[in-house]
Amino acid sequence: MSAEFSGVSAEILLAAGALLLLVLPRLRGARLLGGITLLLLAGAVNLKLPGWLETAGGGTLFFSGMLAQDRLAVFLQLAILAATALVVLSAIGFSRGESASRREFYALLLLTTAGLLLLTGARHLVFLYLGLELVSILSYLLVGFQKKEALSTEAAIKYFLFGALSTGTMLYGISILYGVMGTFDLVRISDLLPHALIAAPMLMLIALFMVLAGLAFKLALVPFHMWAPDAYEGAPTPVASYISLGPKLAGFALLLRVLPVGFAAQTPVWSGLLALIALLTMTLGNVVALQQTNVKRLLAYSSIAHAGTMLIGVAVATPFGTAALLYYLVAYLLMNAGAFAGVIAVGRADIGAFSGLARRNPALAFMITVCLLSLAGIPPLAGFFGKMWIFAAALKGGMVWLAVAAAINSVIALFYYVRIVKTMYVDVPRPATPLPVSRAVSFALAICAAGLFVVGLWQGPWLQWAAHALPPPVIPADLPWQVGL
Amino acid sequence: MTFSLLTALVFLPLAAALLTLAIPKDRAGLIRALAIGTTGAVLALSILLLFWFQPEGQGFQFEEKLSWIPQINVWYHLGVDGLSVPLVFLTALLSFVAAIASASIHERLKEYYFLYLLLVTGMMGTFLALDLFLFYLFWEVVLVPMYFLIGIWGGPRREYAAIKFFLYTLAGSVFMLLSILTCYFHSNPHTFSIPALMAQGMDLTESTRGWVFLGFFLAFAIKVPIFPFHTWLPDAHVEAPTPISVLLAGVLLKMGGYGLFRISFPLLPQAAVGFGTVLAVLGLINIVYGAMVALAQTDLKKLVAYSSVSHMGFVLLGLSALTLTGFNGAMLEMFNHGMITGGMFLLVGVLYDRAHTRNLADFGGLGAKIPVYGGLLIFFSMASLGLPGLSGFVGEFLSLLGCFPTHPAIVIFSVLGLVFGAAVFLLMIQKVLLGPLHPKWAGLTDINRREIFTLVPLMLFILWVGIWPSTLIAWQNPALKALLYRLGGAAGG
Repeated sequence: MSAEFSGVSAEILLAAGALLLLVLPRLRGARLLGGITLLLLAGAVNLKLPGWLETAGGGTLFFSGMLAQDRLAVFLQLAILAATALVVLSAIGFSRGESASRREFYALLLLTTAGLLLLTGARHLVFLYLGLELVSILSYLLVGFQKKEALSTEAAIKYFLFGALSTGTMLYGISILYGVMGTFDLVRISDLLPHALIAAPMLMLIALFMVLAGLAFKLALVPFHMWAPDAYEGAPTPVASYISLGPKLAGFALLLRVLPVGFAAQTPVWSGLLALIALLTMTLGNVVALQQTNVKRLLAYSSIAHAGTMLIGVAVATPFGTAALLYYLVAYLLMNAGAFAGVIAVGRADIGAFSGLARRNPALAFMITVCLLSLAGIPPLAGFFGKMWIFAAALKGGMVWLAVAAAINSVIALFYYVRIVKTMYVDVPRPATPLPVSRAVSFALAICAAGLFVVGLWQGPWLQWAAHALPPPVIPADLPWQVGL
Repeated sequence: MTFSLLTALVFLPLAAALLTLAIPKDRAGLIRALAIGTTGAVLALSILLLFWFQPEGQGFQFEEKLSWIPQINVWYHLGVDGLSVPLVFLTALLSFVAAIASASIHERLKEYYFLYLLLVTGMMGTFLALDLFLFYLFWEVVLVPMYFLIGIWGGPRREYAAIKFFLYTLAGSVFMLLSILTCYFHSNPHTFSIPALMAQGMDLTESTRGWVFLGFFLAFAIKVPIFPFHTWLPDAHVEAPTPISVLLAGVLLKMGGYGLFRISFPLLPQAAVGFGTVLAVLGLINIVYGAMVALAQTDLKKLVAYSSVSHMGFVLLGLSALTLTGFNGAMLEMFNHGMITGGMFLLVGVLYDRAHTRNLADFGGLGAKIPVYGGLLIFFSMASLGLPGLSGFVGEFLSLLGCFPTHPAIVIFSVLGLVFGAAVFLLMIQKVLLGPLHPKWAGLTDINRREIFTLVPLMLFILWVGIWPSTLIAWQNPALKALLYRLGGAAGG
């Protein structure tokens, strides 16, 4: 029994910590609460690390195979923990007012993170659905956290309505799968699918689409993206940062588990479909982002576009695509967390707030610029190499048209990122007074900016780790990288 | 060799840039001195490179090779041969000259010199990198400081010009990236190394080869710029501050031509040969169209910018010749255009600093008022329109001569461009220097000693190459011969 729980010890730690935060009185200070949260996250990292170092490629199964702790899961779980830590750091600087509900904020954040970790390891459709619902409901709460602000509440309701619809759709898809095959286990489904495809081809196609719809909602892929800009704009900025990172990381984990494992027999169908969605998502995200004047909305559309680019890594359906996606996710985590930390540091989200920032706080403007240029894909920052490997995976996977489309998209994206940089460096500051920034936010931003250089310039180890995380069987010929597998 | 000359050339400016950040904002003199000193040191190193360089030596010299990302076989690999040596020297000289000319910049000096030195690192690296991965990195590193230098210190429409430059160039580079990746995947073992790709070749089908060539070509064509991708150039040149215009015209445009020489032609010789006629036609369009548009300009800086488009046409023509003479002409034209147009932009800047206008119609009769300036303007204009004895003539003549056997008809029409080119500069001289002096210029002062100092080295090289081009040809000839041998063209002439 205890062996069963060792697989979820980190999740239990986070959940228990969250509940304790709620129960224990007298914890008010932002720094103290943030510090405790960071400690709990560090503890969770500590519990997850052995899974990365020790498990064989196949990983360990828990709860009769409902939960897998393989290296792919652990890689993404560590990334989720890192993302949460960055969000907590920037939230310490954010929390103005509402000190009474501060504890609830950190507790909700920890609980959501626990949910994301569980979701990342899910290998059973019911388990997957439960995890998805847990994360979704907690996310709605987080988005609507500033309950006195109309925008925040409106965003939460929109998010909730869209979310309920799409998870409902997904549940329907799962029930069809169960009805045809009599199992929720993804590996069993994968075995049975070829027979089911002969017996009920139409039904299987519908089931695939419905399950995909639920996942596409979490990842804010076109046409299930509409909630994202409103949710990002209305949510408190740290929450916006969080929902642009955590659910994306977990969502891609699910895509990688459900499609290549569960629906292996339908690869041509979903591969083509995802390629099309990737194209639409990138293009729509980038084109609409061009017109945004609110930086949070802009980052929302930029996140949509990035999710589209990353989706190429799944669409090509090769181990190389997956490895490229994993590298991209690391870069995305750093640059997006950094950009949002920048918005927190500036204090307002309208683009006017950024004008002349270079003269008000040069270090802050520089760090934000690094994150934005990385989002735009300028070398030698990690964001560029993420794009490069995705392009490479598309070329190698025979989707040359998609690589070309992604390349054109990255030119469009440059325009709106550079517009913020221009506002910071060229425009006249209003007001011209120096802008002080809390140390925690600066620290989070510094980690992101420095990390983008490190992951970009010293990418050897990261490529190695991305390859290490691939689900077996992987042979050296699958990757253009010479890494020990 | 323990002293890494090429690394010093590339990273000395970067080190100085970082040092600049540590200097307090109000120590303007120190910041300037550091930048001028650093670019001066880079120039000294590049002169050392010229002396130590063995033109007849095989392959690359001063090579430095360190493993950088072993997992994907990426090397920090620098080296020079006859193709890069003249351009490295050109970059060093113009960087130094433009650093001195940056005395006209007074705002946000610390940021300016930081970006300026970063730009120098990017330009140097582009000409010295022998690994496509590294090359691409430096190529892109150039864009960011250039964007800021135009966008912050430029003229009234600077924001538009800066973003246009950035978007155009990036659009080209992303396609180059796809081409680089295709090269990587189609080499066995996978490599980004230019010499290795040349040696082992790539297993590309003919159509893929064409696409890969086109990807590279788009990036280089936008940089050169080749018609119809040239529209960023007049905007960027006109809006950029004087020293940046000098580097933009003098060095950045050469990155395109260099890319064709270093990457497109050697790596994809079949595609390059097949593309020859298209290149020649594009060259013709550049020459004639550029000169005709220049003729219609009323803004002095725009006139020089469009004349650059025309001059770069000769580079294309020389390249498309696939003869040794043509190649030599193209390389010479790149070097000479850097010196001449760099000087022209400096002169335009000198006048603009005093008159605060560049409108040709406002001037007239300045020749008598500011005679030294007038003399210099005539000298650079003559070099630009291709007066024999000055360097502009040599490059253009060799390009035309080399191209004649390959594309005689195109050469005949290209000569028209020379006539237009002459008209452009003669009319400009007439409008600026001759005629009655407008009373509002009565207080105009002549060019000062610092400004003359920035022009003298350029004039020396214009004269030197004009009279004795063999010096330059001797550096580049063996490398061009090797390239031509690779292309299977006629090595005669």
